[in-house]
Amino acid sequence: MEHHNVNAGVVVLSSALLQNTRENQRLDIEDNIGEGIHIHYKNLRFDLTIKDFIELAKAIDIAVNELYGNNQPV
Amino acid sequence: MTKEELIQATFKSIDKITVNNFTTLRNFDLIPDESSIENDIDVLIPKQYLSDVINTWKDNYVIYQDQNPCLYGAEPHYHLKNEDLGVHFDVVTGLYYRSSNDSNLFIKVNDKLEKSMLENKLGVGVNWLSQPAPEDELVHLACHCIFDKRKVTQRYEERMNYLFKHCKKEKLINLLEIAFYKTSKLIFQSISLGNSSEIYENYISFTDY
Repeated sequence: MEHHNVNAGVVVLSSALLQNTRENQRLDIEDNIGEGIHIHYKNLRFDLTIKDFIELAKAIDIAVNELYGNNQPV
Repeated sequence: MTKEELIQATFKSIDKITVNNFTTLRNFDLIPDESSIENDIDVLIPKQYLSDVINTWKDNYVIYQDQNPCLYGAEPHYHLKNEDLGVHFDVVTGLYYRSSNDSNLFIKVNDKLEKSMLENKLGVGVNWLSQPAPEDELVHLACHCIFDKRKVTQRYEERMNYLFKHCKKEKLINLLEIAFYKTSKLIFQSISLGNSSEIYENYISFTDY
């Protein structure tokens, strides 16, 4: 059986289990070295360049600050 | 039977059973004098020949399989050990490397790497009978250092620098890309400058993608 290319150089940057969800609880952010950042959210996978990942992280940080200000939930 | 005779007979038998469709992977210069239980002999043998090899040699070796988990088509290593003579063949059915995320986990990177290695192998008139073409051996050593060892030893650094001089550059670039994606250009550059010792650091710190 032919197999597709698999990146052996995967580093998990962060990992969490989503709470209070009826679906898949997965939330993992992986660096697939030389290939891209993968965000596994429930049963979805987002493939991002590092530049796009940083932009997304900044945007989420701004959004969280906008939402909660100094009273961010732990 | 001496150590050298056992090694020679085993290689001849593997060659016959596989109809010359196998290759020794690395560290040929250690065979046979420095071969030992610790300094094993790494051999790639396609799976369809393995049961014949095992049946042929089951009285001369203790034979067992690794228990490491494997993904994406990787399969456990087979070990043929003769403790009395200090001979250890470490047989793989494909090119499998340790995951950066879990060093116990073996992963098959791509069929193309082992296909290229077997199709382009070189027959040699010495004990190990068959070795990879320079491009395949170099890419295998780079994968072995980066994924399996997480460092580049002086032995492998010198071998990679030597092999580079004998490589067809376009073929080497194609194989490096399969294993290392966009990091392959930096790895190629380091090796081309004789800086093979830097490829693990190059790889792990690369962020331009």
